[in-house]
Amino acid sequence: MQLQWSVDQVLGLAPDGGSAKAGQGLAHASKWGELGQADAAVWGAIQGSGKDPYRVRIDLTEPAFKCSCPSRKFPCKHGLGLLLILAQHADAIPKAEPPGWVAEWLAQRATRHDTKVAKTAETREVDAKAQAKRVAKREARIEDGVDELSLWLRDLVQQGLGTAQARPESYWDSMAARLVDAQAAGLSRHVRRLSELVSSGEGWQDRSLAAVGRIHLLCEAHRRIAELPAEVQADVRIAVGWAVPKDELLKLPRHADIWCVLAQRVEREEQLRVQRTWLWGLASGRPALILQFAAGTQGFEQTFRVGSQFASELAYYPGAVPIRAILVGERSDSLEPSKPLPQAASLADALAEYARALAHQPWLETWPMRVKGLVPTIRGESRRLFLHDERGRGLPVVDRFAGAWHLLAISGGAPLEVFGEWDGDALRPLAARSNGDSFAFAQTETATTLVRVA
Amino acid sequence: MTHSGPTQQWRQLVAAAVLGAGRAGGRLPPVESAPAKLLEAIPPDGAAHLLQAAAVMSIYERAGRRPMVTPGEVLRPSENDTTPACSFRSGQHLARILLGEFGFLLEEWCTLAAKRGVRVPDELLPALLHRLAADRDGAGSEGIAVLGRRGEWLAVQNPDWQSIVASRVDDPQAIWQTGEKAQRILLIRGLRTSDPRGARELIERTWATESGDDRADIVAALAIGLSPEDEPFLEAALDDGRKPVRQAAADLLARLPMSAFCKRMTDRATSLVTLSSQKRLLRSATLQLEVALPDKPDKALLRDGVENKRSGGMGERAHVLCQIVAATPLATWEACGAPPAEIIAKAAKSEWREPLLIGWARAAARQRSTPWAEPVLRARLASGDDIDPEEPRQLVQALDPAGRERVLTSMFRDTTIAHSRSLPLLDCCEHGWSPAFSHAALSAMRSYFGTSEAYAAHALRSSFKQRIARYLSPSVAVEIESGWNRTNANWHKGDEELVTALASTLAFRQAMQEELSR
Repeated sequence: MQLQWSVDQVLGLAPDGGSAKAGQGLAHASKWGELGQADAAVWGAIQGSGKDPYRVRIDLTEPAFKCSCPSRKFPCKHGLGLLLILAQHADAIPKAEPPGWVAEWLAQRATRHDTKVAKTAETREVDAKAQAKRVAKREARIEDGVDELSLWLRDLVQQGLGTAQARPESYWDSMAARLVDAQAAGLSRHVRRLSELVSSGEGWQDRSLAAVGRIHLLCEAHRRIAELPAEVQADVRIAVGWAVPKDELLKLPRHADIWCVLAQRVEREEQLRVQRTWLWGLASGRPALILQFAAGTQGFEQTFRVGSQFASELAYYPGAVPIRAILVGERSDSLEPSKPLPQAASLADALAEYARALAHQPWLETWPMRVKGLVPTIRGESRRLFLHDERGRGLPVVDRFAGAWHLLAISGGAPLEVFGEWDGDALRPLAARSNGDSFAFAQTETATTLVRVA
Repeated sequence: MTHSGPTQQWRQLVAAAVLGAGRAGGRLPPVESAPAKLLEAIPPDGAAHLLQAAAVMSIYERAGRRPMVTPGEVLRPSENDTTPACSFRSGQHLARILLGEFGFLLEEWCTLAAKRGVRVPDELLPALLHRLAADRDGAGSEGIAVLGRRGEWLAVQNPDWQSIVASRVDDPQAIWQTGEKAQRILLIRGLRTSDPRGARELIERTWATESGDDRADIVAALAIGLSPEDEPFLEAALDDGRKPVRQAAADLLARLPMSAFCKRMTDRATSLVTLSSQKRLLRSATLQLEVALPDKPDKALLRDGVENKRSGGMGERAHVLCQIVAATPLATWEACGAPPAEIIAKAAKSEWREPLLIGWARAAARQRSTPWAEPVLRARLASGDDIDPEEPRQLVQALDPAGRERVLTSMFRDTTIAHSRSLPLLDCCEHGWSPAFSHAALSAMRSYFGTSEAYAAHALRSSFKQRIARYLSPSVAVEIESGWNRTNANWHKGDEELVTALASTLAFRQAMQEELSR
């Protein structure tokens, strides 16, 4: 059986609320001409403000969109409208052989895949000498930044967290800005997060001191970086703010597997959209996080459809506990729903596994957690969601989590398997399984919905 | 806390950090157990020690945390649903409706799903319940039927949703006593459908303490499930200190023909208006109408909600007569043996046309009487009197579906009635239209939109966009986009939008109906 598209999942692809709304307005087969669908593609033409109708094609495997309209939004409203028709009224689109303008594009895509792989395989020629000089210069600046941060931290605990809480914003801003100047953006982010924690309400003291501890540990580790094992060196460098160049990633060992697209989340940071896609290797049982960035309403380079699976090779970013990865090999998508994953861990086992990971990588920010046997309950005045195991032990869920009632609805009081991001204090649920049905959360600008993915 | 608490050492460390190493001085806590080894090399005082201890201990604490049993009741799981969930495709249609664009089709989706014997998929329940709770018109009864056991179980747990499934709530009193006004009214409406007496008893218990504004709305909510059992309560409400409460009570009593209120009104009406049909030898019966104007209203009449003031073209006395007729059971007049149409025709020619026809119009709307509403509506539209625009709308709503279609079809054909007057009545025809009526309505719309008269009819266009397409028969889908005055200079951009909207709504409804009848 082919994996079916759902309306909420389609709207989850929209780059903004405007496109989602406009897409719905176009989701009427009567507005379209040249409609057709084949196994892995759907196409159609729609009259827009231009002279000729816009021609829209969608390769359903990733999915990938192509529209002749001039919009810079991606996918555009026409693509969304067409996919919405497929989701709710597929019979309105006749089955057909792709016409020339569709077939050509599909063929182009297939060859582009090949050339892309070939291109990434060849290593770019670099001026090694100039590069080394640049790196040395940056290292020196970061070292200065780390020293300054260490002094600042000492002063902070000397005066006390109570005093820090009363400091003006400029106190935090100027330290964060100096770290940006020192080309240590990672450290700068840590300082900003600390400034948020000191005013985060009940329990701020614990959270703030833990953050201070982690920053201090990072500064110390950086000072002695040469003595550390290679993986930990990589973790420290990434945490401080070094980017890992792509050609370096391509040199790393590759992990071939069937990857299930487990969950996805998009965060909006001013003009930037950050997409987090969680994969799970069927053979290896390893999770992987693919991060993609897009400016404004532009599209992400690759599309991953939650609930589907594809065969490809991944390269993990170096570190003691590799999680983040990029696609390095040719990707072959299946139109079938992904196979069910092996059983998830019990709550106790999942936490023990996290503890082990933390021992190797103390700066771990999010940890993928898949736990079985959790019953959602909503309690108290604040209507907070708790996830309990069969012994009544609870896993806290992030504050203001919008999907609490959805989880309750699919559980009916029975245990669920929940997948989410664990930050050491609370879980952010992203997907769940109940009675053999798989669900994933999808977000639009206005609402959180739970989508049935298989 | 859902976690085992922090260790004593960590708590001391936090206390010292909040105070500051400068002030905490040598009193920094000693670190014991496993992490102690890591701290041996650092002198146990000052900021350096505090930082190092925080670094080591924070990781140690975080890694060592174990979930704890949280106090609280264990949730009783939902019962198993015996009805199956609707198909994936039907679920997608519902998801689309809940997103907003086709929000007005929710009722139809729910009705069809209930008829088909399927329920809402679990994952869409929160959005549906959210929508039903916000729906103050109480259009929720169709929605409740498709919630399934799972939906009812879920609604009971959310105070915002409890009143939707009032009949399933263990303790409706709690909502009644502490809920917000909208919630309480929703509760009463829900309870009245399943347990009308229980709902009234709930009201009676707190009646003395309700505010005046709330009392009027509470009385109005009794319109659902109204029965002679409600009479004593309503009769007592006629003595209320607030006029809106008294009027709401009188309005409901007028719908209970066996009530003492209706008897009082009947006595008054028959003493003022005499209808007699005399049959003479070899001649058909002739109807006689005699009207006497009432005196200034006495206390009893005022108590029954009749106001002593002028209204429209009517003087004080004529208006009193009109109000009495409006509250009198229509069967009273049929005693003379003549059919309603004849009675109305007679009155239309009399001096007392307005008080009688307006009174009957109101009575027909209240009593939802097709035999009276139809001839009254025709007579009123033909009279040339100034008519309150609400009046024909209420009359159309009072008609049964066949009556509505009959009246409107003949209005569309009647060249003396402008389309601008008949078309707005279409959106009170809240039933699934027959193919013939759908066709007639479309034809009337085609000859109206595109004319200069229709150019500025923006309100009509926007109300049609939402409302007409939900009642049109899918059989007109094939013709919906053709035959419009598109080439006319007065063809408005909004007209094209209306046609497109009608076509897409109809296509959506067709797909929705097809999927739910599979």
